[in-house]
Amino acid sequence: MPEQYSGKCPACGRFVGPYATCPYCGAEVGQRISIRFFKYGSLVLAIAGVVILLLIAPRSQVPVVQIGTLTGTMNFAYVRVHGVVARQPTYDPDSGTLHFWVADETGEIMVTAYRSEAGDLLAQGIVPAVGDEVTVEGTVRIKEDFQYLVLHGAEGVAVRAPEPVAVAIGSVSAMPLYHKVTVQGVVRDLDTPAEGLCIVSLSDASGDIKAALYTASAVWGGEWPELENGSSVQVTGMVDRYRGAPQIAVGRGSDLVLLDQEIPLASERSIAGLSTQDVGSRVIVQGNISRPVRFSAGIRYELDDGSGTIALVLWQELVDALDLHETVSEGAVWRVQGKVADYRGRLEVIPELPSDIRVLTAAPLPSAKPEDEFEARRNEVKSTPLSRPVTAKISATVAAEASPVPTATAPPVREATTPARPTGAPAPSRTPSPTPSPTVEIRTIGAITAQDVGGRVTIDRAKIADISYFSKGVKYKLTDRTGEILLLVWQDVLEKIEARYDLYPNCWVQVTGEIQEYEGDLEIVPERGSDVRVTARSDRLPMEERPANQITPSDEGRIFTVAGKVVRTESRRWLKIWLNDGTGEILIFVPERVVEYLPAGIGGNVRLRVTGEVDIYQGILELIPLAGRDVEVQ
Amino acid sequence: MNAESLWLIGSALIGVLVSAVFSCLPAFHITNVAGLVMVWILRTQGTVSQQALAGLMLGLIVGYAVLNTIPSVFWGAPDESTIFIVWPGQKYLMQKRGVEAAALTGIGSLGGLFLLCALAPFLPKVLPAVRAVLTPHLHWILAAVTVFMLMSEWPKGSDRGRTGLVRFLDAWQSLGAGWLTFLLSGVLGFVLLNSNLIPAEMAFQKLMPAFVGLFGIPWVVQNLLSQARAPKQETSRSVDLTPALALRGVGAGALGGLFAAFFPAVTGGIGALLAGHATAQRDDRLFLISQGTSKVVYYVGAFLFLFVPGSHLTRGGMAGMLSAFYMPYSPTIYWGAVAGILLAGSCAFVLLLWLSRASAWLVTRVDYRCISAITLVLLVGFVLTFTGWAGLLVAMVATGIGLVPVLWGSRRMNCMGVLLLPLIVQWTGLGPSVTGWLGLQ
Repeated sequence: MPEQYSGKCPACGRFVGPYATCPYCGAEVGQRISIRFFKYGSLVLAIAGVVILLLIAPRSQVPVVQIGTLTGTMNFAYVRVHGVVARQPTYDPDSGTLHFWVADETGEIMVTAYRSEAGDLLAQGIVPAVGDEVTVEGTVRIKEDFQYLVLHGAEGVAVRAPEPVAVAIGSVSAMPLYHKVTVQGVVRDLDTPAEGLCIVSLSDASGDIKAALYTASAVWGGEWPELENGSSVQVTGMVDRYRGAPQIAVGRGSDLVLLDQEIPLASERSIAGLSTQDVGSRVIVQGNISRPVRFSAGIRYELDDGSGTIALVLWQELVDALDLHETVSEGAVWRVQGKVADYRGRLEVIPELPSDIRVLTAAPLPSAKPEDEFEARRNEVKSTPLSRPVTAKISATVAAEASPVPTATAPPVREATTPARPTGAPAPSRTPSPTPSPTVEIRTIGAITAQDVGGRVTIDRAKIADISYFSKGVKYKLTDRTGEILLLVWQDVLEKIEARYDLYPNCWVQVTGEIQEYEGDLEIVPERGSDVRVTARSDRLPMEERPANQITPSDEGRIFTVAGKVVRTESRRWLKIWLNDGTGEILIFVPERVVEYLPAGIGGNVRLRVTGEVDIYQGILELIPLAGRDVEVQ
Repeated sequence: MNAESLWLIGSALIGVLVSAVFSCLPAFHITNVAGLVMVWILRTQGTVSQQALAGLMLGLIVGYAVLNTIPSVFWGAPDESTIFIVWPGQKYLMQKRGVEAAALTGIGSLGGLFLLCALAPFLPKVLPAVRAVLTPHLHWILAAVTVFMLMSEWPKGSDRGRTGLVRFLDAWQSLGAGWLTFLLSGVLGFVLLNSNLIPAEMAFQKLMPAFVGLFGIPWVVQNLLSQARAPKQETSRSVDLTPALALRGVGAGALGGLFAAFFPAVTGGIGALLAGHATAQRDDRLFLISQGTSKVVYYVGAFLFLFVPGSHLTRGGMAGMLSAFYMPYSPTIYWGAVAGILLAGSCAFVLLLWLSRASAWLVTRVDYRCISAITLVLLVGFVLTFTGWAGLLVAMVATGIGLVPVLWGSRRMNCMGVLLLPLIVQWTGLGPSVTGWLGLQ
C-alpha cells in the first residue's frame, strides 16, 4: 500500500482518515480502491435497495390469520383478521383512541385506532357496531396475557352489516353466538347500569331476553327511540352472552324500532289445564281471588276459574307498585298474566309488572278496619295465616278492563277485603320454613335497623343484586322492595354452602345470620352453610362438565367442571394451575381466599377435577373455583 | 425470597455466562441470541418456567451491556483509512492499554448498575407518574431529539474549493450523507413496519435484519477492510482514575442512559450524545466511564422498566421480546430482578476483567479479520434462519445504508431513523398520509 494511504496527510502529517483531500491543508491524499468502491457502492446499494423494497413491499401478501393462532413470535406482524365485532366500540375523546373487539371462532382480539386513524374512521362514518362483520388490517401487538391489533388507517377496515335472522325471543338462546337476529317483543323492564348502556328486558310469547343497548358510542346509527315499559319494539342485534345468559347486543339506534302493534306475551289458559310442563312459561289466567295470605316477601292468593285453583303470588315489589296496601277480598275477579312456577310441588302464577294484573270485577266493599289499626299491625311478627278481613286499596294503576266475564262497575278506587292477621301471632314465611329457629325473627330488609346489631334474623326472601369478592370471602348485595343489605359470607361458610354457584345476581335467597355493622352499613353474616338457602335460581345456565378445548370466551360466567392433569403451577398468594385434560390446557385461577381451603397434594402431574366459573382476565380464559371443595384431587 | 425469585436470579447467572460467549464477538447483538432462545422456548413449551425465562433474558442483557466493551475495544482496531474518528477505546488499544480501557468502561458499567439498584425503590412511584406526564408529548420530544441529532453534526469540509458551490458541496458531503442515511433508514423502517416482507410467524424479529444490516455488518465489513493490527497489550493492576472523575463519568452516562431507556427508539448512543453535550465532557477516561454507564443504564434500565410494578413499561428489543411471553406483575419478581441485576452485573464485571485480559492476549495472536468473517457468517445465518431470503434482502439494503455513514464520515446513529422516523410520523398523525405517499397502503 502506498505510504500516502495510511490515513495521514502526506503534506501536513495530520490524521485525515478516509478523506480524499486533507481537510487541514487541502493536499490530495488519495484512497485505497476498495474503500472508494465501498464508498460509492454503499450509496448505490442503499438508494437502489430502498427503491426496490418500496416496489416489492406493496406486493407482499397480508396474511389472514385466525385470532387463536397468534403467538408470541408473531408480535409486530402485519396481518388481516376477519370476524364479528363482539363488543361495542368505545371512543375516548381525550386520548383520541378508538377500541373495539373482534371475535372469530378461535378467539377475541382488541382492535385499536389511535388519533388520526380513529379520526378518519369517525369522519368517514365507518366505525363498526357490535354484530357487524369486519375485516381489519394492522400490526399485532402481543403481550403474555393480552393481544391487540393496531390499525394503520381507515383503509384497513372493511365493515359489512350481516342480514339478521328473524326469530322468536325463545329461540335466541339456540342461535350461534355473534349471529345477528331480529326479535319483536314487549319492553318489560328498563335498567341503566352505566352511562351509555341500557338493559331492556324483552318478552314475547316464547320467552324473555335482555337487550343491551349501547346508547353512547362512536357508532353512527341514528337516534335511539324513547322506551317505556309496555312498549312493543323490534330489536336487531348480535346474539351475545352475559355471565352465561343469552342477550342481544344492539349497537345502532336504527336497530331499535318502536312498533304500533300489540305483541301477545301469553295465551289464555284454564287453570285445570296447567301442569308442571308449563313451568317457566307465561300464561294468562282469570278467576276469583280468595284466601289471601301475607308473607314477608309479598302476598299469596288463591285464584279459582271454576276449572281449578292455583296460587297467585305477588312479590312485595309488585304489591308496592300496585299500591296494594293489603289484600283484596274474596269475590274480585282478576285477569292475570304471569309465569308458571312450581314451589314445593304446587303450581303458582307469578305476575311481574302491574300491567300483568287487570281487575275485571271489583270485590264487594267490606266493612273496613281503621287504617291506623292495620298499620299498627303491619309490622308485627306473625307466623299463622291471616284470618280477619281488612281493607286495602288498589290504585288506579291497576287498570279496569271491559271484561268478557260479567263485571261490576269499577269504582275509581277499588277496595278489597282480605283476611287480617291475628294480633300477636308470628307472621308466616311463604310456606313453613324449616330453617329459622323460633328465636330468630323473620324480617324484610327494610325492617332491619341498627338496633338489631348483634341479633340474629332471617330474611325470608331477597334478591341478590350484586357480588363482590374480598380477600376473606364474598359480599352479596341483597335487595327486596323494602331496602338493601349486605350479605357477608366468610370463605369458611361459603365452603359449606352447597348451592354456592347459584348465589348469583337475580337469584332469590333466604338468609339467616347475625346483623353486624361495618363502617355504618348493616350486614347480615351467616354462621353456617345451611343459613343461606337459594329459593329461586337466576337465569344462569346450569353447571356442566366440559372438555377444556370446548370452553370458549363466549362461556364467560358459566360454571364448568374440568378434569385433567396438572401441567404446571405458579403461586404467589393465589395459585395458578394449568390443567390439561387431553383436549387442551386451561388455566385454573385459585384466588387467595380459597387457597387455604384447597385439598393437599396439588402438584405437577396430579389429576384434578375442578369446578369453577369461566372468566376472561386480560384476554386469558380461566376457570375460577369458588371454594376449595371445588378442586378435588383424584 | 420465594422460589420464583430464586429461579429468576439463578437463571440470570446462567444468562451472564451465555452472553459472555456471544458478547465478545464483534457486531453481534444479544437480542439475536434472545430471539433464538424465544423460538426454542416456544417449541418446547412448558420445559422452562416463565420466571426462569425472564431471568435468562435478564442475565443475557446484563452480561451483554457490560461485556460488549470487549469487541468495541479489542476487535475493531482503528484502520485510519476506514474511520474518521479514533474513539478513546481504540486509542487506548493502540497505546497498548486496551485492558485499562475495558476496566474503565467496566467501572462505569458497575456504577450504572449500582445507580439503577439505588433508583429501584423509587421507580414504582416515579416511573408511572413520569410516563403519564410524558406520554402525550413523546412525538415532539422525539422530533426535537432527531433535529438535535441531525443539526449538531458540523460540516467537515476543507473549505479549499475553488468556487463557493464546490466548498459548499465539500462541506455538506458528510452532513448530506448523514441526512441521507437518516432518510433512507426511515423509509426502510416504513417499509418494514407497514408490510409483510418478513414472514408473519417471525414478525417479532421484523427489525432484526435491518439492525444487523445497519449496524452489525458494516462493523465487520469495516474490520475486514482494515489493514491495521493491534499492538501487544500491557496489563496493569490499577487504572488511571480519580473518584471525582468516576462520579462525573457515571453521572453523565446515567443521564444519557436513563433518557435512552425511557424514550422509545432513542438508543444509548443518542442518549450519550445528548448527555455529552449537556455535561460538556472532554476527558477520554470520562468518556469511557460514561459510555460504560450509559449503555448499562440504557440496556438494563429499559429491561428493568418492564418489571416495575404499576408501570410495566416495554422499552428496548429484549423487553419487547419477553413481554410477548411473560409479563412480570408482582413486586416480588421486581425485587428478584433487582437482586438478579446486582448479582449478574457483579459477575459480568469480574468476567469483563478476566475476558479483557484474555482478549488482550488473543488480539495479537489471532487475526481479528478471521473473527469478523466468522461473525459475518453467523449474522447472515441468523438473518436467514429467522427471516428467510426476504430478510437477507432487507439486511443487504440495510448494509448499504449502514455503510454510508461509515464511509462518508457521518454519525452511525443516524441509522436509528429506521425507528425514529416512522414513530414520529405515526405519532404526529401523519402515518397514513406518508405510507400512502410511499405506496405502502
